[in-house]
Amino acid sequence: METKLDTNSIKKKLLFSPVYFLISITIFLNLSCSNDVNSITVLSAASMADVMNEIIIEFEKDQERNVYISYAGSQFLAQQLLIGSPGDLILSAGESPIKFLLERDIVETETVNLLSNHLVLITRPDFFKGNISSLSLLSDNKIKYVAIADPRLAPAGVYAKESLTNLNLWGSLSDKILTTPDVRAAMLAVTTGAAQAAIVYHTDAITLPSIEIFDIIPQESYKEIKYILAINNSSSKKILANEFVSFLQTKSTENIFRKHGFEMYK
Amino acid sequence: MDLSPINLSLLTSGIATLINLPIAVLVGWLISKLSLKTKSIIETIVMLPLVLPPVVVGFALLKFFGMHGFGGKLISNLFSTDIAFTWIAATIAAAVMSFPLMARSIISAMESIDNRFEQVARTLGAKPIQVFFTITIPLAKRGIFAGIIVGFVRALGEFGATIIFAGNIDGKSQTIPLAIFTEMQLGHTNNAGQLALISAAIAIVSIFIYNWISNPPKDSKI
Repeated sequence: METKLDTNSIKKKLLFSPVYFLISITIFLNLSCSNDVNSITVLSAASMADVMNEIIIEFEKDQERNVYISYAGSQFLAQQLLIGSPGDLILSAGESPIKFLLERDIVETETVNLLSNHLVLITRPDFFKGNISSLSLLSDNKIKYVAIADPRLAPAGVYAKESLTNLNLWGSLSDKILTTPDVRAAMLAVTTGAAQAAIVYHTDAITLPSIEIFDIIPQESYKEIKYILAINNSSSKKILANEFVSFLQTKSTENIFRKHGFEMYK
Repeated sequence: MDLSPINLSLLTSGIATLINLPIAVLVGWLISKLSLKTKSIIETIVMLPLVLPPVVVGFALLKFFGMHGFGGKLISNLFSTDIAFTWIAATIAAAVMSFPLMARSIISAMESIDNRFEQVARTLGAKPIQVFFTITIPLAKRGIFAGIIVGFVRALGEFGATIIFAGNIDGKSQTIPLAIFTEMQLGHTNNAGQLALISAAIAIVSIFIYNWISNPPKDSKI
């Protein structure tokens, strides 16, 4: 009698293994449904998330089609494509990730220069009291630290360093430079008072209401800041990907980009 | 507030934990029965995801299950779909990364069982499978429960392997940690803070349950 009871309880417990089996089956059944033809996956620079989310709502509005966007740093996205992630399209902030992909024959050679951006100087409101016209003011004793993104980690830092070097300020300011992991952290350094000024992208600067923006950095002093689109060579949905690329260049989309501070690339 | 990262996190971590549980129990049992030498080999393999940087694990998973990888091609032929950049990828990443912690707890529970109980059961005529379910599992119960909780919490916190293998797609693969990362990048500190509070709440409850299982009140049955 005792043994019989035991066998019963074992049988009950063994029932769990079909449960696990069912779970794995469900996962794979789900797989086959998730592959819809009318959808593309876009790998996009993380700094574009706000504007891109707004744009895909417009793109999906009038037709049955989906755009899934995965956000991360551009160089990271390029690595993902190289390893074999199923992204159909990449929107990179900066040229080097695209160069990296072109060299390895991962993306189609016809790329699209979509947007441009420029650097600005930010401070806390009323820090300078009135207008300033030149970056040489950064040498002022009032300024203890100037925050920029780390040139080794973020393209924004590369541009900022390049500009300061070409304006012959990098050497004299070197003790004042505070590097941060990214542009957002450089802005945070200003708002928290850790730095008195920062050099950041115009598009990032306008998202903060509590800072003053000085558009005084000469655009000739650094390389063009480009946002580039490229289509994955192994994409199976190039038609839809191309449709999305065209959509990104229409007048109505342009207005959304402008609202977020981007300029269309000329 | 967008709820989908929370649902997605609970879903992927829950399934990851369910998939890991029988494997971890089996591995724990196996290790407790093996000789010291074989044991250390298996333990090293099991613990690997714990010591490797998560990014490396994500890289390996994407390499294998990606468009050009062996697993990716196989699944693509069988089911005509990709699993990289889906919630399934997020589940796999969470499962791989949380397995060592769950297994660790179960292994120590199984190893601390006095072998004589199992031997007595055998001499009284119980089949090995009966011994396993009526002696071994009940005696290791506390370690198994604790393993479930640590594993689940680790799965919830998974970031590095997930963002590489599953991407960071809102509603599809963006779990709580990835959502916090994205909101921080965009300067939406309030949204990031809310999500951080939610993860903290889940973590605190889990630690409470974990402690309760490890040191149960005297009259409890566990």
